[in-house]
Order: sequence, then C-alpha cells, then structure tokens
Amino acid sequence: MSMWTSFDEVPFRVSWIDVGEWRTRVLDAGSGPVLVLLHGTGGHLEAFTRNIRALTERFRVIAYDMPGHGYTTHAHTDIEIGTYVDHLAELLTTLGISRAHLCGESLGGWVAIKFAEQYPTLVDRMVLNTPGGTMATPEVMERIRSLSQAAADDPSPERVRSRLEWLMADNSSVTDELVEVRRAIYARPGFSESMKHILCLQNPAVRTRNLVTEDTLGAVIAPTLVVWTSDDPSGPATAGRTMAEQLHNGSFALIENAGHWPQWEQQELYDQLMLDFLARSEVPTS
Amino acid sequence: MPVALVATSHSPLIGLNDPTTEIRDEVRGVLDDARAFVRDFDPELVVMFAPDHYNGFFYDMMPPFCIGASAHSVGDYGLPTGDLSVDKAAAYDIGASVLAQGVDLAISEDMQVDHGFVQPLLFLFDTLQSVPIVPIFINCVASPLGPARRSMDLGSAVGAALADDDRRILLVGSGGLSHDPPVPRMEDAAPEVIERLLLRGRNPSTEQRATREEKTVKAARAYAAGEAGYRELNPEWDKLVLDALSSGDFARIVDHDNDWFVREGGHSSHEIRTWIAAYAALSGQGPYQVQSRYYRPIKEWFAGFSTTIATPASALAHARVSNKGVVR
Repeated sequence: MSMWTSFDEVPFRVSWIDVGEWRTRVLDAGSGPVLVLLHGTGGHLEAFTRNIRALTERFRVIAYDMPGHGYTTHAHTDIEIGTYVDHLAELLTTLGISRAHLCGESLGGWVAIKFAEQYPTLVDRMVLNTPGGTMATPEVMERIRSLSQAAADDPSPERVRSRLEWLMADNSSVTDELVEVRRAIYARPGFSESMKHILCLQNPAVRTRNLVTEDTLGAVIAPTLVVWTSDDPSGPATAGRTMAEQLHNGSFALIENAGHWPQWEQQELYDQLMLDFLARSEVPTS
Repeated sequence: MPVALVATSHSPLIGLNDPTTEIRDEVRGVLDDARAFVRDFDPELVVMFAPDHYNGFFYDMMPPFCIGASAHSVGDYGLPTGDLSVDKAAAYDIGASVLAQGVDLAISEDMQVDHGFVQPLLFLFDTLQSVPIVPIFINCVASPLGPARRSMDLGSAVGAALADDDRRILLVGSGGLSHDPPVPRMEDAAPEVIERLLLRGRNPSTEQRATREEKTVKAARAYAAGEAGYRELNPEWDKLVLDALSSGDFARIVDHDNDWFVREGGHSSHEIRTWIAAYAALSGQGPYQVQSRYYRPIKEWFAGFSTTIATPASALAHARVSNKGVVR
C-alpha cells in the first residue's frame, strides 16, 4: 500500500493557498471538527498520510507544508517559531476556521504549543507527538542539522534515507516511496537554502530564545496529550512526562517500538490514541 | 484585563416553590459566597451572557445573539422592574469588535430582559443599577438554534474585545444545566399560544403575567411531587458539562449536535450556551482555575442548579497572553 492509496476511499483535496508570502500546500480531507496536523523539521504533509483514513472518520483533517518546507514557498531568511505560529493563524483565518484541534510532530508540536499559548481561543485540544522545543541537547541538534542539511545539499536516495532512518525505531520503516517523496522535495531548486533557514532553530542562541519553558506550558489551556515513544532520538520519555505535568491540563502516553514517527511506525495504535483523546465527548448513559 | 467569572443557574421558582429549608439555606450560602467573592473582586464592568424566556425576545424578530446598549427589566416573577445600568459605549465597542471578528450579533437600544439576567445580577449585587453592565442575550429556547460551538465563538470574540480593557471585568453566565420545564414551542404549540406568547407576548397585562407564572409554579409543584410527563434532571450529564467547562475542554460538549443537549439535558439545557460563552471569554486570557463549584439537582426549581466561580490560573499567564485575541 502506498502513502496515497492508504486513504484512497477518502475524498480529499490538495491545493496551494496563499497565506501572506507563503504559497502553502494544504491537504484537506474529511468533515467534522477540524484537526490540523503539523509535521516536523524538514518534513512535509506526507508524514501523516498513513493516518488520514482513520482520522477522517471523525475529523476534517488539514495537513500542510509549513513555511520553508515541502512544496510551500522556500524560506529566504531564517524562520523562527513566531513565523510558523503567525502563518498557522493566518492559514486558519484564510480557511475560515475559528477553532481547531492541533496535532504536532516534533517541530510541529513546538509550533502547536506556542500557538496555543498565543491564541488560546483558537485551539480545542492538542496532541504533541514527541514535540520539540523543551530541550536543547547539543548532540541531537547537531545530528538533525547535519543529517538534514546533507540530504538537502545532496538529495541522493542514500542521504535522504539516512535522514529518514533517524526518525525510526526500525530502519525498515523507511520505505522506498517515502525516500522518493522526500528526495523530490529536497531536490527542488532552492531547497538547500531553505533548509539552512529552517535549521536556524538548531543553532543554540536562536533555539534558546524560542524554547518552550515551564511558563509557556503553564499558559496553555487546551487539554493536551503528550505522546512519547520507547525509541525517540530527540530525548527521553521523562521529558514528555514532565511536559504533561507542567501543562495545565496535560496527559501522557507512551508508544512502544517507535522512534520520532509513531504515527508512521505504530500507525494503528497512534490513530487509536488520537481518536480516544480528540474525539472524547462521551455521552453518559442516562 | 483583570477578569473573573461567575456562572450560575437561575430559577424563577426561587422563593415561589422552594425546596426544604436546609437546601434553600445551602444555596443561599453558595450565592452569599459568590456575592462576597464579587464584592472583593470589585468589578468595574459586568459582561453577562443570559437567555430569555419569551419575556423580551419573540418570534417577531428572534436574533441568535443580541447585545444590549440599553436594557430594562420586565419584572417577571416579582423581580424588580427598571433600567439596568448599561455601559452603552462598552456595548457598542464590544458589538463592533465581535462583528469585526466575524460573529454576527444584533444590537438593541431597547432590550427587555427577564429573570435570566436579573436574578444573577441580584444574586451578586444589591440593585439593578449597582454596577455598569453589558447584557448579551443568547437565544437558548426559540428554535432553530445554531450550533453550541457558535456560542463559544461569541464568547471568544467578546473575550478578545475586552482584552485591552483595563477595568476589572466580571464575566457572568446565567442558565440552567439539565432542565426541561414546560415551555411552548413553535413546532407544536396551539396557534393562539404562538400568537399570544411566542410572537406577540411583549408587555403582557398584569393578569396575563400572573396567569402564566402561576402555571409555572403549578408545574414545578407537580414535577417535585413526582408527577409523570416531565423529564428527569440528569446529574451525570450536568457533571460532564461542569467538568468540561472547568478544564477548558469545550470540545467535549460543543461538538455535539443540538439534539444531544435535548436528549441528555432537556430542551432548556441549551441555556448552558451562556456558560460556554462566558467560559470561552475567560479562556482567552489563558488557563483558569475553578475556585468553587456547587451543584445540586433541585426539582422544586426545575433545575440542575449550579454556581461556579473561576479566575485566571495566574496573573503571570494573563500578562503573557497576546492581545491579538481571536483571529479570523
């Protein structure tokens, strides 16, 4: 099953929507309460293709390529979290969406948290999937930076595969199709420069001023599920537990046998967690 | 803005068909505590979301939402008649801001309000005129109703409209949890009832009002006595609603369709929209803490009766929240 045939019974539309200076690639599928999916550093909306089918059973799912990423306009200056946050706010406005669930993976989770802090009334609930932004571990930052930039500078299947393998608990989770999808994006003229600007958050000084602090977490009102994994390359599960505790209304879940992409490696389990948490509007028996 | 919230049930039957002295005193204590909280908070403006019960709003022109730039109590159920001390400028400012944010609401320069507004006002203050107020009506009874989520959008927009106001602002939501007292409905009322009550019921004669109110009291007595034909209160559903609002988890209730509210909480449970709006307005200031929460199903008053008080979780959180407010 390919990425795109995994939800071939679901009506969807991929379009490019002008959001300020960013011509933004957006996948829009399903109907119901809105759920926005945010990918990670160097990522693209295909990160969630395996989850579309299950999630569209309950939600209108919006997945998009963030500024400088995927098929959205390349970045020509460094992009910090505020740019992603403002872009998301404007994207929702453009789509006429007044409130949404957010699910962010890695960088996407970082953006979601900052978004929820700044725009509390726009967020219903959040799922943070091994989110970034709370830690600044030099080795991890350097690894992301070097693997990502190498793949963008030399978008060979091998380089792209190495970057993708970093995400997975099991290297065999990286399919040839996933490599090819990312390779095509990274091979676009100008992407290498965009990647440099994306990676500014791996620079210690820049990262520090964008970090998610305890105060940030304490200022988020949206009920939030923090998902961590057994094999996450970005940090230990305790980091996720601590986040859940520091959130006003946080809970925590651990997924075994997955790395940075549990939505991909443990798709069924992940989807079930998402649905249990986001679609939780149980009717009491009366 | 320094902000606080009181959300409370109301019931026109308070004083007319009371439960046991013990329960009456318990509620009195809860409302006294709320009054003391408000006195300490010392609000400079009250923004109140409340419904109407065919005393001020009729089918001759039924808006989903209406902000009062001037408002007058009709004095139903023996409550005082007279003008509320409406802050006209604030009403227009909030109205304009809410419209600009994409939530449509009507504006009235001659809003008539009933016990839905007046009771909470008098629970918390001495007179109708004790405090500057902006009354915001939410239609909770005259079908068709919009989705509950829309009341949250209204509240969020009002919260954003107030974000730059330096005054101490008390947000009030007024309405029942589960309850289903007999209210005539456009769908199935007799033509003369529609004409007399739902369409042209404004400014009834003293006798007409008395007759109508006697009927309500009679119905409440029958209900409390266990007579058949009435829907039971639903404490379990009420708990779900209170839990959701206490934790800022609006989606847990507002994603349901209107039938769910009727099925679980009875027709008048739509009044919880006033709480949703008030809590949504508060949530724009970041996390909040419910300071106190009282609940008791009281059949004599035809209501799952609840009073809650909430304040921002921390002044720090408040200071950090952007004043950009709702983006649309």
